[in-house]
Order: sequence, then C-alpha cells, then structure tokens
Amino acid sequence: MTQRRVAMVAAGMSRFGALGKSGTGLFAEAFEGLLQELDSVDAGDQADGSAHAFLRKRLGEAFIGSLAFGGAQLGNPAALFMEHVGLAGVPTRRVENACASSGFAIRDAVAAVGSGRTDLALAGGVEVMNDVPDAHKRYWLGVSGDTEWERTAGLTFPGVYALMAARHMHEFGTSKEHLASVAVKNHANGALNPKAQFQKPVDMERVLSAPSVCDPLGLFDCCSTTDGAAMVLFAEEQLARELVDDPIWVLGSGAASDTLAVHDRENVTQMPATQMAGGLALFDVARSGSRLSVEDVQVAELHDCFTIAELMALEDLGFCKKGEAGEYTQGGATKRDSGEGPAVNPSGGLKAKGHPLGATGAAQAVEVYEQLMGKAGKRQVADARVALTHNVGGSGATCAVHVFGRGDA
Amino acid sequence: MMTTGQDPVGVLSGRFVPGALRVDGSEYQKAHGGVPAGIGSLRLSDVDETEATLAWDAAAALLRDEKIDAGALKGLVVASLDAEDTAGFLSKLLARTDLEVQTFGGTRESAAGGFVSACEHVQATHGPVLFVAAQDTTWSVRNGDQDGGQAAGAVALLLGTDAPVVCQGGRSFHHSGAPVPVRDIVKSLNDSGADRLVAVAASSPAGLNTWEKSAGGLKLAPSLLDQVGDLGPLAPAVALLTALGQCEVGTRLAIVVPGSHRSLTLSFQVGETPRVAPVDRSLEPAVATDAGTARRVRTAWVDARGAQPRGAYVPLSVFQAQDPARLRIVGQKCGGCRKLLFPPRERCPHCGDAKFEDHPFSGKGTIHSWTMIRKGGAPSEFAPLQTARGAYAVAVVELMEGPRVAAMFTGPALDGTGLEIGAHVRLVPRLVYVQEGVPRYSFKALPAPEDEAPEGEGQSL
Repeated sequence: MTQRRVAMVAAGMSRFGALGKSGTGLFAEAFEGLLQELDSVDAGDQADGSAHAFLRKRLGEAFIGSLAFGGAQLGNPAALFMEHVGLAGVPTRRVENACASSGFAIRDAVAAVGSGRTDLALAGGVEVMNDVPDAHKRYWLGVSGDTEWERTAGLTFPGVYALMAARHMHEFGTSKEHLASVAVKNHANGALNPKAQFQKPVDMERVLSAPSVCDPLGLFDCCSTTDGAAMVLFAEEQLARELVDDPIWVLGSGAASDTLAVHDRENVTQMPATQMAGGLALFDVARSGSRLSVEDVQVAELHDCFTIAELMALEDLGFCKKGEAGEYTQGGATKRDSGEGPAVNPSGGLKAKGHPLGATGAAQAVEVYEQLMGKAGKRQVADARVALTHNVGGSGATCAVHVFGRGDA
Repeated sequence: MMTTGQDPVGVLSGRFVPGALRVDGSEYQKAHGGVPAGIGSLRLSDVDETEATLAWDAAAALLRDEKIDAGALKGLVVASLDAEDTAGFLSKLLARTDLEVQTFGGTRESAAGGFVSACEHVQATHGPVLFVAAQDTTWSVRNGDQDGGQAAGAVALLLGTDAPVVCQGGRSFHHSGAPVPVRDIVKSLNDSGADRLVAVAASSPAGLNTWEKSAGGLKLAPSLLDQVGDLGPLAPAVALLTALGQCEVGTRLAIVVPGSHRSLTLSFQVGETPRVAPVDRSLEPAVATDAGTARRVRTAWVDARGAQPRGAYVPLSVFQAQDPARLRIVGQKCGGCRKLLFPPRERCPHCGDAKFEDHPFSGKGTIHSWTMIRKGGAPSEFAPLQTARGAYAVAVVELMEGPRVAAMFTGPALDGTGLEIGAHVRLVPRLVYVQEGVPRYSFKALPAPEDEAPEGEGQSL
C-alpha cells in the first residue's frame, strides 16, 4: 500500500437513468452533491470561504473515469469536466478501463494521496450512453471485449457472460432461479434508492418470464444503459481528521488485469482479475496491521453487470465457496441485514441503480460513503463499519477492489 | 477439342456440396418469381456461404476422403463467377500459392471448357489436378441478381491418370445463339455407338424434357435439377457424378452441356466402380427455410457493399494477416515452454517467450460452453445476419489440442439444433461479414460426428 493513511472524506453522485442531460451537466450534478458533503463538514473553514474555495485551494489531482462519454469528447474530456465545475488548473486525466474506469480512478487517487504527491485527490466518473443511435450504442457497448477473436464470433457482453453462466450451470447446477434471485434482491434495494435508474421491485416470476437476450440470460439478468456521474474525495490523514471526526479509511486497494477474451482463460466460471484484485486488497489490509478479513465485510458493492457476475464475484472474493453462490444468494444471505453475510449491492447494484460505465466504480464508493457515514436512509445497513467495492472492466479484463473501514474497524 | 490417346486421363473421384438452405420451389416463386416449372425445391447459399467457402467445402471433403495431400496437386482449375477470387481462396487454404491455376467463367459451357482444359493439364503434368466449379446465390446478388431459379453449391473433381472414369474426348457444336441443335447432338452420340448413358446438364426441367423426347435409343440419367435448381457451372460435373451413381463397369457415358452459343458433349468410359459418394446423400443436412428468410439471406450483406465499416472494426490488413489462423487454424508452438497456442500472439502467455513455430491445429474440438444470441445480444455489425437468420448459436470450443476459441455456428446448427456441452465440432471457413465491400472470412463451427476420430497433428482439412 502507500505510506500515508488515506481517508474518503466526501462523495456525490447524479441521478442515474436515461436523463437527456449532457456529460458535463451530469458531472456538475455529482459535484454539487460532493460540495454539499464538504459544506456539512465545514470544509470551507479550511479555505476561509466556501467548500468550492477549499477545493480550489487544496485539490492536487483529479482522476476521471469514462469510456467514451457518448463519443462527444474523446480527447481531453477530464479537463473539460474540471473546467465546467470551476476547477480548471487541477492536474487531471481520463482514466479508462471500460466499466472499471472509475474503480481505477479511485486506486490512482488513493495512491496519489498515499504517496505524498498531494493531500487531496478527486476520483470520479461520467458516462452518457442514451440519446445515441441504437447501432452506435451497441457499438460502444461491445468495444471492451476482444474485438478480433470474440466479437468476430458474434459476441458482445451479454453473449460472453451467457457463456460463463451456461458453464457455471453445467459445472455447479446453478439455476435460472439462482440468477433471478440476484435481480429480485437488487431491484428491491434499488426501490429504496432515490438516485437509482429503476426504483420498482420485480418478483421472481417477472424475471423468469422475461425474454431471453442470450441464453440463459434474460432481460432482467442484464443491466441497462445508463447516464450518470459520481465522485469521491480522498484526503491524507491529518487533513481528513480536521474535516471529519471519525473518517472512513481506505484500508486496502487491489487491482489486476487478465485476458480480454473469456476463451483465453483456464476456467470460464471465475474471473482471475477479481481473485487477484481481491486477494491483493485484503493483503493490503493485513499489511496495515488490521485483522479484518472477508468475513468482516458488512457492505459489498459488487459488479453485477449481469446476475451471473454477482454470483461469480461472491465466489471469487471468497464470500462463499466456489459453486455455492446461487444457493447463498437465493437463501437470502446477501440481503440487507440478513445477519448471515454481507449486504450485497444495497444501492441496487448495476442492475437497478444503473451502469453508466465510467461512473460505476465511483458510484459504488459513494454508496460505501453513505453507508459508513450512516447517511443511507432506508437503505442503511445497521452499524456498517467495513465495506468493500468490486469494479470489473468488460468481461474481466480489469478489476479494482477497495476495502474501507470506519472507526476501530 | 481434347483428343484421346496418350495416357488415359479422367476422373478419380468427385464431391458435390449444395448450399445449406433449402426452400420449396413454390415458396420461392411467391417471393421472387422466375422459377422454371418442375423445380420442386432449391438449394441456396446461407448467409455465411459464398462460392469461395462452398468451393473449399467440396474440395476439402474430396481431398480428405481420397487422402490426397494438397502438396501432390499439379494444378487447380476453377469455374465460377468470381473464379479469380475463389481460386485465390482455395490456394490459400491448400497452402499452395505456387499451384498453377486456370480460371473459367460461371456458365455451363465455360465450366465444361474448364474441365477439358483440366484434363489437358493432367496429360501435360501426369499429376492430379483439382477441378472446382462453384456458384452462390447470396453474394452474387451484386452481379445482376438473376432470378431464374439458380442454385448454390460447389463440385470438386479430382482428375488424374489411371482414372477409373476415363475421358474419351468430346465435341463442340457452335450455334451462336440459335436454339441448341438437339437432334444433331443426339445423332452424333448415336453414331459413335449405342448403349450409352447420357446425362444432360440442363438449366430447367423443360429443357430436360426436350432431350427426353429426342433421346431415341439413348438412356437418360436422372438429374438433380428438380431438387436443387439450376446449378450453372456445376451442372456438367454434377450431371457426371449423378450418372456415375447409375453406372456399372464398362458403361459408356456422355455428358451433354447445352449452352447459349455453343454446346458440348463429353464422353467417358467407366473402367472400375467409381469412388464417388452418392450425390443425393450430399443433399442432407439442409436448413429448411421459407421464402421470407431466403429473401433476407439474399440481401443480408447487400447494404455493406462499399459502405463505411460498421460496428467494432477490424482493419482488412489485420484480417488478412490472420488468414492462416482464420482459414487453416494454424496456431503456434512456443519455442520456450513448447505449449500450443491459438490464436497466434506476440508473446507466450505462459512463459513470455517471443519465438514460435507454426502449428497447424486439427480444427476439431468439443463445446465447452454455448449460448443463443437473441434480440439485443448481437454486436451491431451482425445485425444483417440476425435479421436474416434469427437467433444464432455461439460456443467456446475447446480444441482437441487444448486451447479454446469462440466460434459462431453455421448451417443447420446455427439455430442451436442439437447443441450441448461436450458435443464434438469442427471448424470450417465461412463468411463473417462484409465490411467496406470486402468479404471477411474466419472459422465457424459445425457439429461433427463423434466417430470422426482425431487424425493426429498436422491435419487442417
């Protein structure tokens, strides 16, 4: 890990959905939320003025995740966003690892603070996916897989994840009901999230009777296209303690890359990138002297771009045994306050909250912020002190995992 | 015209492969019109078949069955509309870009002339020559879209010396646009000896009737016309193969090729039981389709002619550089750790070494996982394919040698029929799509019978 302790001191996100809003507008909306959090801790006092003045004075680096920003501004989008929120001048760059873009933006921001490069760093993400022609949309959606050998076989992400699901079902007896239980849980959670794209619960029957997209994945097994922005702020220890009595610490950061094509992996029912990133994040946690392990995680925001992805993540991160995630989930262990396991995707996950590709990693951290600060309202997991975020790029080519803890965690 | 004498040259064996789609003649008539009376069903090329892939299917099957190594061939003769491109495709797949190639046009007469030329080449070289005729009904839409009940398919003949079916020469009848001199031709056949089986490479059942009425003492072999449609340049060779299915040793056989400006007859002596698979067995399996599907398949890639690349774009130069892998399943053996890799790459993912030997894979494997890609699940550049053929099956195939690849299914299995994890498959070259007006080819999967035992290393057919 890094030399200095790093804390997550503020967070903000826009509404997620098909919003008809520009990327810069969405970024500004998320930024507004972040400023409100900074106001609530009187960050302005640091700068003898407003929270915005505080950022203008102290923000040393900004990392902004985005895949394509709808194709509107491929070059220099990060500078455009900073300019739009009145922070021109801050060193910034677009971070891109497909759907793991802002997860890696977080990793980079934490490293920038931990290494001493800066005392304050921003990690965020933006994606505009709607209001583009359908063919254009399907083009952008599929470009993060292996183009030469997977896409030419007629595959884009639903197909690739369907291949993983079919094999998982073959090897472990995972059923469509197991997959559906992920969707049911996440839509129930999303219904309590005012920022979520989908705020209505769905029942098992509705999920199971939905048309198939790529067998065995149906409409409700697949996340939708979403516009949205999210961001979190990291501060070094001393500054963090000046802002917040009991800061949320970044206990561990782990990341990895792997093959793009799922057929190039030894085993298509797991993601080595997740296994490696998760292992490295927990190693980080242990190295800092903490005794926390996977069993202590109370809130987990896992990358459920497809229902099978949440099941695989539970296994790959060690929350349950290989092959058992279906039973584990259908049995209710990952529901909020089940007492049997972590609350998985209390935000609604990518499934119900939405998946604006570049913003998702940051949005997971926003949920962690709200949960650990006790600000999650109806979604609140009781006494949440330890949380984990898991952010995957494409079908497992990249993965970033972070562990957060508050207080004596 | 070719003369007899010297070493007897003729046909060693032959294979016919029809286009994968079968549509009822009356259905087709409803959608397109122009199907001659008497054609009961038509064979059309599927959305991923072109004359090139059909030509290879026929040639590969022939060389595999005859256990002929491509290295032994002394020449290649191709008769088709796009003969230059198809010959180039075949040369690549035979790994014989040195092979002497002759090309002929896509008409019956042209193909018959090509056959004669191929026999002459056998005489000159004493070695086996591969003759291929091919026709497709999808890609050739761009060339005028003739709607006369044309069929898709390819026929491959292996010609050589010491052949069981010896070519004894033939005659040309020039009539420059005037009707085919049927009676003159029948007379010339009768004059050179009775007791002969005659097969007519006709274009329509009505045309066949004319011959039946005038045949006199000649016995007419049945034709496939009513089951497949007008085979164009394939007709002479398919007529020959069909007739051989009726032949006993000692039969004298004549093929009549009626043309528009000249017609030809080719005479054969059947010396041994010919090593020819019954032609009508090659009619199964087929994809039964309706007129609507046939029409959508026919026009699937039409809007891609000359268009901007659509979807996630692989540059042409990259595609072509990958030809050995995509067409012949040639991968790598790592110089460092000796592991087999497919597809080929810059550095070994196991040991990091950058030195490799080419390693031809067998193309055989099993289904490791598979799915049906339905509405909403296809990449945008495959929209024409999905529109034409509906949901399509894709698998992760575990090659016999170890590595895995992703492959779409082709033929009757494209809609998922009969697929399950563990089933045996083999990879064949097919059209992926058309980008910038250029067809892009790569491997797709076909179910393979389990008793097709692995033949060991080095077999890429």
